[in-house]
Amino acid sequence: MVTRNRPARPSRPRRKRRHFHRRKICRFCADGAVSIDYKDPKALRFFTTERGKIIPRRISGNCAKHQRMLTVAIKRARNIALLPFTTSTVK
Amino acid sequence: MRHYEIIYILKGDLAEEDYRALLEKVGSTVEKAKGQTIKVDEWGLKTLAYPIKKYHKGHYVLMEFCGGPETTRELERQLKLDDRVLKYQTVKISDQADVEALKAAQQETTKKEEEPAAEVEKASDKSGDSKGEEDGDKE
Repeated sequence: MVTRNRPARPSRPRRKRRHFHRRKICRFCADGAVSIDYKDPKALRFFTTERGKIIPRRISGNCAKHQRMLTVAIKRARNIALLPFTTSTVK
Repeated sequence: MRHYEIIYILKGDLAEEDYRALLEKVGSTVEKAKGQTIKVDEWGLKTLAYPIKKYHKGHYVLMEFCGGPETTRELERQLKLDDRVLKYQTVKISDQADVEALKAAQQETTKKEEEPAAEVEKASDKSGDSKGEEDGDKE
C-alpha cells in the first residue's frame, strides 16, 4: 500500500545492475575439432562441478545444442561409472 | 544392419583365464545372434567412479558390433545372466551401417597402430621380447 502511493522516484535507471554479462562463446562451436564423447571422462569432467553436477549453460556458455549433447554424454558416462553421480563427503 | 557399441564392466578380481573366456563368450554370443563384431577394445582395469556390487575396480571392455535389435537383446540378456559382469551399456551409433566398410576401416586403423609399435619393438630389445610373449599367449 505504501509503495503504491509513493511520490514519483527520482528518475534512477532501474536496470542498472543488469548488462554486465560478457558474451560467452560455446567451446564446441568455436572449435570444431573438439567432440563430445561419453567415453572421455577427462573432457567431460571439465563441465561438471566438484560434486559431480553438470555445470549450467549460463555459466559454461555452451550453446543449447552442445549443452544437450553434453548432458547426454555426461549421463551416459555416469551410467557406466566413468563419472560419479555424486561424491560422498563421508569416506 | 545397425551399428552399436557396448561397454561392459567385469569384476576387478577376475582371473586372467576367466577374463579371456568371458571375452570369447561375449564375442560368440554376438556371432550367434546374427551380429558381426567389428572391434574389441580392452581398456584394462580401471577404478570405478562409484562402487558397483561392492567392487571398486573393474575391467572395462568396449566392443563395436553390427546387428539387428535381436542381437542386442540377446547380448544384454547374456550379460545380465552372468554375475561376473558388473554393468553394461549399449549405444546405437547408426541405423544404417555398412559392415564391410566398417571392418575395412577398422583393419586400417589397427595396421596403423601396429606399425609404430613394431618399430618400437625393434628399437628396444627388452620391450620387444615381452611383447612377443604376449602375442604367443593370445594365439
